[in-house]
Amino acid sequence: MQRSADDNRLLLGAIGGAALILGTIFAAMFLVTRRPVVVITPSVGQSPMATSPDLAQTGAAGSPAASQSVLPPSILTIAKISSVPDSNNPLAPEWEKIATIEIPMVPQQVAQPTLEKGTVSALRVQAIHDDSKYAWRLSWDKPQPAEKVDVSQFTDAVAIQFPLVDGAPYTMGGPGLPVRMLYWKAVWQRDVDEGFKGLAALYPNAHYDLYWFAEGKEPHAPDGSTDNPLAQQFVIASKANNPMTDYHRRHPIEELTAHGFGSGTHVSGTISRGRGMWQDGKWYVVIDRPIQAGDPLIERIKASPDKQMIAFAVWDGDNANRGGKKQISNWVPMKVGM
Amino acid sequence: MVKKFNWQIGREQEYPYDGPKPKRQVAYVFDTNKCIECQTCTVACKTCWTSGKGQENIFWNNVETKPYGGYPHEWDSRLMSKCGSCQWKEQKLYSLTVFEKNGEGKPPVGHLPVERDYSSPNLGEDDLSQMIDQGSHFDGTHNGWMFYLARICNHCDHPACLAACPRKAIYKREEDGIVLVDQERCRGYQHCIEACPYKKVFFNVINRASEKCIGCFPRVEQGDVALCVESCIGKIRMHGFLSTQEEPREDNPLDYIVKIRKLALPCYPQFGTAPNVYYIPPVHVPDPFLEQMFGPGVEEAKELYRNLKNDRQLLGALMLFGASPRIIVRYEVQGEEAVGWDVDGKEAARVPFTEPTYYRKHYDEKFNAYRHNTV
Repeated sequence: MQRSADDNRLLLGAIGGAALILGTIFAAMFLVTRRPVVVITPSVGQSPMATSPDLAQTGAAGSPAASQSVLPPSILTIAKISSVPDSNNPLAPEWEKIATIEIPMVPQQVAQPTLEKGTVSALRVQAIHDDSKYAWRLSWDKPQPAEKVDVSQFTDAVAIQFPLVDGAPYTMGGPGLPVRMLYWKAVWQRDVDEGFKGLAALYPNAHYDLYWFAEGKEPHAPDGSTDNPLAQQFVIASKANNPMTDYHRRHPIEELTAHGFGSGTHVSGTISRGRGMWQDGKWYVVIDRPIQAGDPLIERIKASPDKQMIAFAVWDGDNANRGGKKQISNWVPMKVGM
Repeated sequence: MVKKFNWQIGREQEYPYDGPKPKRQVAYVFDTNKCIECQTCTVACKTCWTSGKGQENIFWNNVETKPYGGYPHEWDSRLMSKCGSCQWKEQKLYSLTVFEKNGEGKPPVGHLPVERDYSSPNLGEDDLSQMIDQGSHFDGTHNGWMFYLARICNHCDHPACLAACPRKAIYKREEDGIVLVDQERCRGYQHCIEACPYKKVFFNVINRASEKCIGCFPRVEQGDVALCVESCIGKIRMHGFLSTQEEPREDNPLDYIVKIRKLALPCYPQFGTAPNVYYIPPVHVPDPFLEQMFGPGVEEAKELYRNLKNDRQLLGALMLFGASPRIIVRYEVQGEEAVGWDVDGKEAARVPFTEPTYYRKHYDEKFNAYRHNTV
């Protein structure tokens, strides 16, 4: 028994040494290329890049062409399959056969307000397509879902970003260099799955007696009359069509365009659909994009299927992540598998 | 960051944005000595603006009892603990404002309350500064003290909410300095709530966006005072404009009370936002507490207040509190009356220094009735 334990220690030492050497190589690669190093599974566990220097400080990425000058990094391949599974099921078995790349995520520290300490260090990404749509599945570790929004309470979320022109910085684009984002939030998913939660659902013991628009006797249910025109006169954000204020959300994906931090602007009528599910300490979120002629994202993919870029952002609601307080990645090269 | 002069702290300070001063600045004077905390202002505001879904615990206007009350809970003491003690030398502030405390380019220092901090809007109501022993009696000096502090958005010269919003969804109006949250662009990040020292931006749990006191701007645009001002039964409030582009005018009651005579003082000027609700300090409250809350000048303001009966020009301005639903932009003392004019140059109020007294006969011949003052 004693001897066998010693052997185990020896083995662990050897593995540890190998991991250290590999880690050094990856770190060196990063320093040379200034690009995130992505690791293709089946390698499991922590990415060696999880402890890499802050990517956000390295500045914006260049055009796809520039990225190929030195040591081309690993590429996210959008695998071709016969039929993309329903975007409403992030746990569809088809996803198990698709290669996963692990993207190191770093706290956003370019623009104020910054995230000082990150809590999500890696995002697992898969991508597939058929003739009708593209789909990405994003997964990350999260012990408990954060799906409620109130003062001091924030929601888990994830977003993917595409450049709309060559050279757009990964930091939400820049002046004259727009990007497009597809954004999923856990609180929206809950709206879709369980219906919008009003005060009565959020705070079952709350009582309120000052709804001028409520009819009948007290206690007036805090829910039920959000659509009443008299109630509507108090919800100005709803009247102003603020995309945050949607009592009848039908799908959890928002599309945004941006040309720099703080400029994210809602794009109405997105054609993207998706769904997020939390299971056994992990979020699985699928975001799709139907192949439609004229769509700016689809047209760019069509124009150069081998030279695409994608970037990622993850928000941990339990760490007060929202807006600029998020974990981000640099541009990751992406190509369409044939 | 740019350097901006803040007259309330007697020096230049850091602020993220430069910009011209508004044409005039909406401002208020609240006389704390007259407030009885009837909450009529609170109800007027809530009835009109915040009776909706998600606004259940939102009070753009609230009245709390100092020293212990606070809505949201401990809004001021939590920030003061973060900022450390402030240092004044005469009229100049030597400690750091909320914009300077965190260092260059950083968001303003602040704190974000939790939902429970809003759940008891009048916690600490009527609590005295100290316990009163059984059998105590009034002997010339009160054994303890408290006072009512009515609070609305300060429509600050240097709003911390505006400075903190990464989306520039908060703006200060050029025409009157009213600070508003763009209800279309706000995405509910709550950085404004964290940054506002007065916690007068609120998160609406149904809208999932932030909202705040709008300074009754639809009324202000018509020349009418805010609802909280008009409804005040104690007539403790005056609503008007401070001059921003020219020297303070003696005939502008706001300029005269705030800038020329300095009878009313800003609330926590040390935070550096240059708030525009000015308080006449309660004369019965000890100076150390008042100086912490209203900055230097408390003793002088109390002295002015005590001497009001001999100060016709200043008293005349105070007579116009609550005298008209119109905003008074010019006033004059004419003999035994104070007269105020509105934005259109029309006379809005004429108030005698001494209320006339009427004597009525014991027996009313017209109605064949006796007048009693007993039951």
